[in-house]
Amino acid sequence: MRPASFEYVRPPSTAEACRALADGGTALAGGQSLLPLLKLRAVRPALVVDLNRITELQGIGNGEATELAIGAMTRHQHVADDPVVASAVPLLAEAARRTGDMQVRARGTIGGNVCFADPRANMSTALVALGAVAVVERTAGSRQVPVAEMFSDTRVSALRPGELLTRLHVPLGAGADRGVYLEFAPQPNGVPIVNVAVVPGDGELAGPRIAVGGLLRTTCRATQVEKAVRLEGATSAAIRRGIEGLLADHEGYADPRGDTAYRARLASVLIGRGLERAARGPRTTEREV
Amino acid sequence: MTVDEMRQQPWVGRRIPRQEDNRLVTGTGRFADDVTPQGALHCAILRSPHPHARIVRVDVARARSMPGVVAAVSGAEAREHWAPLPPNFALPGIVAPRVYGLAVDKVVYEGEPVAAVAATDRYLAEDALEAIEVEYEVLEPVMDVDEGAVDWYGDGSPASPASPRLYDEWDDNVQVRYDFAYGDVERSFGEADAVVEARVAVHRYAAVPLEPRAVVAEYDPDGRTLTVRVATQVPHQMRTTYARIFGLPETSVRVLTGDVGGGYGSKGQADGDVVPILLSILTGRPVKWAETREEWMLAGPVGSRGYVHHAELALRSDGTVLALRDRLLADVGCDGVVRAIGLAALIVGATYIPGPYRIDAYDVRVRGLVTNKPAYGAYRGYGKDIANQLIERLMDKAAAALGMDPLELRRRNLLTEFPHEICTGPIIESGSFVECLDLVQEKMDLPALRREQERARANGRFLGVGVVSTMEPSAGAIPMSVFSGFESATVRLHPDGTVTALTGLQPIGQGVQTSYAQVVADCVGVSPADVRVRWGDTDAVPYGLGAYASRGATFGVAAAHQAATEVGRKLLLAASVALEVTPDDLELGGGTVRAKGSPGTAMDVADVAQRTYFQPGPYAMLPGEKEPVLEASAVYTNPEVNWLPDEHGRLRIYPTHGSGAMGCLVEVDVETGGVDVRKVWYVHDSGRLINPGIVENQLIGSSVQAFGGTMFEQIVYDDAGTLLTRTLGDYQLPNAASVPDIEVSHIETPSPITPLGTKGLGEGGHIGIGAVLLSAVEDALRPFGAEVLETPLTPPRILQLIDRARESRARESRAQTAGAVRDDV
Ligand SMILES: Cc1cc2nc3c(=O)[nH]c(=O)nc-3n(C[C@H](O)[C@H](O)[C@H](O)COP(=O)(O)OP(=O)(O)OC[C@H]3O[C@@H](n4cnc5c(N)ncnc54)[C@H](O)[C@@H]3O)c2cc1C
Repeated sequence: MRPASFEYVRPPSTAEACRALADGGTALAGGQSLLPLLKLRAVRPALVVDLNRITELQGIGNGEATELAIGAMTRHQHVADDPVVASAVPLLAEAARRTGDMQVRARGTIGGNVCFADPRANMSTALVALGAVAVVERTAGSRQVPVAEMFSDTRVSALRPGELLTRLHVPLGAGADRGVYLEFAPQPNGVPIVNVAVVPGDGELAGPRIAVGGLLRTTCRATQVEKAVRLEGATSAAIRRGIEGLLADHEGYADPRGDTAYRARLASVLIGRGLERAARGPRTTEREV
Repeated sequence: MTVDEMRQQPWVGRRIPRQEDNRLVTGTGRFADDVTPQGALHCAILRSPHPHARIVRVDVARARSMPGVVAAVSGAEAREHWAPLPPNFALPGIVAPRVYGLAVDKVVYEGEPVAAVAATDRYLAEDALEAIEVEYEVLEPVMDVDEGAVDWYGDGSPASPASPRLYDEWDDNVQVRYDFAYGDVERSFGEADAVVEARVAVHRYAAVPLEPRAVVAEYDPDGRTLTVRVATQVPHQMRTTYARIFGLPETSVRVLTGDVGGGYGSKGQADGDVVPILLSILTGRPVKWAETREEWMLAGPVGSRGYVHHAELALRSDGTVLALRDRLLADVGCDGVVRAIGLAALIVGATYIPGPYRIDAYDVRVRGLVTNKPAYGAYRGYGKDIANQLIERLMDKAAAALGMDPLELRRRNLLTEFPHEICTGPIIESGSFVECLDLVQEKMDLPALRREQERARANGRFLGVGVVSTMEPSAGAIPMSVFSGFESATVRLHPDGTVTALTGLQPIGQGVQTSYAQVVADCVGVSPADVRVRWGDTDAVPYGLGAYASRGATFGVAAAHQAATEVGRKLLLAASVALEVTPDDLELGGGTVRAKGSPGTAMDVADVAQRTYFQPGPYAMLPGEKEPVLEASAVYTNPEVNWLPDEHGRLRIYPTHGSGAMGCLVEVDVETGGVDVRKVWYVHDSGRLINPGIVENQLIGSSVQAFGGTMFEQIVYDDAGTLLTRTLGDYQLPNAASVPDIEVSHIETPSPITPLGTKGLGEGGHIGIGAVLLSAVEDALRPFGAEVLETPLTPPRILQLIDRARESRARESRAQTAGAVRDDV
């Protein structure tokens, strides 16, 4: 298929991009999710706003010792290779490293991964567990949205018309450097069926933070599981109860690779393994499942 | 060995690099989509969004007036300009629907072409499709075949439910009925010590060539000639078919192929590819159509497999197989005869279920039912996989039932004497089934694997080992079909000593260019680099039949060998005149003709050729020869093919048969259901090898495809009949990171019925992988007692198998406890 015709602009700055988006534009980041849909004519934007020339959206900085700021247009491979990411939030590097194949990682961006709002997105799951916050700008100002609140439904982000995701702020400390990302995919380099990220709690009171993708219609913080684990310990029964709690409150995700029941089992297994590994301490690089 | 001695060594049997690779890996191959003639229009096809509907009205007027659109045509309009697509075979028991390239009044699958546009570019053509108005009367789709409601005996029982019919002119939805029985099956079952039963089922998956369908059609209205560049496995049959569909004499139609980006059976028919041809005829301009992956997934010949066996095997307690009974039911999509060519695979499957085993009483019934899905395509394996999947699973089950070692049970029943006529008719001309099994066992180091398995189990890890035998019938020649049983070649030694070899066979990735050059080179004493193999231009090469059924090394190679041998004979005759040595005392090789034992008396092949043509020329160099030039044409037919039914109604359509055995080691994660296929061992015997490197890669390639199909590839529709796996994001093909390590070993038992002792190959991996994976996973799950008889082996299915096995164990033990309690009372 060929895309239906559309207008195309490639603004040099965030401000101009916001203006184009305010005119009804659709952002184009790495194009790894948008272009296939354009070709299938499943989406028909009137105006495509190419973000690839906006240098201020690219790169990773930790000017502040308490958080890491990652530009929305930072490529997956950049995140995977970045030494600061590797030492401060290794689970994010692992999530990036396991996103698609080399070509996808070279083009795809962390911002696009979040904005596409696919419930199985690697970066989203990692960012939710890390408690990351998205900086969203529009012509008339900006707002900050926890990544956990960036998703309205499967492949529907919480962005309002005219909004641009510019940065992701990842808080450091609180176990972030001991977090674990695990996924189960039909084959390496493929979109996972379920992924989980676990960040161990810091100290006695705070329990682990757990995010899961591919279980519900959106990537989510598994608060019920966190609570069950805090109260009962990281037993598989507790985890399963937590998952059941999540599914009682939210609609499950299903596709030909697995129904919700299978995803629930898989999520329980991966969370159990993630907790165990996080508890074991120093990160392992061995390939999981 | 000196360099000179090496030059004298035969080329056949050598692992030389493929001549075609440089072109293909540097992107300089020429595929149909690489060609865009001046002034070409681009075709886009409007497809039905419904799997089953009547077409009430199609209006292309608005599309016709869109910018850049040169032609727009509905199915009803098109019908005036072409004949229906011809059936590709007409075997008894098979019915063919009447089908046009664009549907006229009914659609029977989602994606069926209903109208088409030719425009100045593909974007405008796609835009114009959106302006075509189609009114449908939506009908209830038939998406499954009901296993319980099949009329096996033709007496209407059990009563077929009134499922909607796909074709108004048919009595029911059955496209193929095939029954065969041999020997006294009833008595053998009666005398058996043990009978094992199994329901073995394989889901729908597909050939997915890198290059989907592509056509560049150029109709010249002045000369009324048609040239079609097309991705096909069978260029000559396409010429015949196009001529018939468009009412042109075959002399006016030329088909060109060039490079074809994979076939696997999927490019053996005319279907949607006739649409751009029609548009070229209507506009008088070149029209190009290169379909998208979504079109392939929607409307390519992507149905394959989708079958279920209900079978029983009767044995004596010593493991001797007495009889076999099978009911084979398949969901053949909308059609496996006209729009695609998969249907006969079911008959091939039924023919080879007894496989490499001595089975003298056999009863099989086959039914293929149409559903509202795309056509049933041919795909590597073509029924031999259907056969192997069943017989090998039955062998494992029987071994378990008799408490025998499964390999020992196989050895007890494998064929060991050749030639051997199996009960369904084919003659297994030579083989090494037991030797293959022995060798695979040795390569695997089975005892070490069993020890590793035990250690792993102690640590809560589940390894499994499977071993199967395989039989690989090749070179199918089907009567009453376009897949006939001959091949042609012309070999021409030029005055400069280079050679052109024309073949009717079609390269689709299987190394024709290199291996045929090796064969011809040996016959005329030159190097393969001096041989140029040409194919796929129906104006240049003699009528041949192309690539299907692994026929190359039987038919194609034999024809080339026959022609080249004749050229070699004449070459020696001419050289004997020049050198004044009798032909018997001359030998060819390394680009020279030499007197045996006196290397000083020699001439370059080029010199002999130059003299034969011109200096002094044929009257002096080949006196008395009827055709005194260094050229010969040959047509090869195989003596073992038999198309006259014998008293049991049996034919012999596959003349050559490879032997093999496969082993496999898997690890199952019983928490996630993930299966890690750690290693595959494949021992293979397809007679004499022309180029072992090419053979190995054929075996690995076919294994990888079957691995993908067995583990995760699947075509999925929702309940309404809408395809869910429309892209390669949804339809998973194996990638380099998931493919297991595959170790190939060869045994070479020459075929006595081909000139070089070769047998066809290329489908081998796809024949055994399914069964060996099921067997290995079942072995891994043995602690749970799970039976593994159905594909795909996706993680959810693995967990389901474990759950079910646990439940039935729990039920059993509850029943036992209950029984024990009662006993107490
Ligand atoms: C073969 C393949 C394999 C893949 N495997 C994986 C995998 O294993 N795991 C995984 O997580 N993903 C996978 N993906 C998806 C990949 O991660 C994409 O990179 C990601 O989903 C989208 O990022 P992008 O930069 O390409 O965004 P685009 O495709 O350009 O955009 C995606 C969407 O986000 C919007 N958008 C993008 N950036 C912004 C922004 N800054 N502000 C507002 N809106 C924005 C766009 O308008 C569009 O709607 C795979 C993709 C492919 C093609």
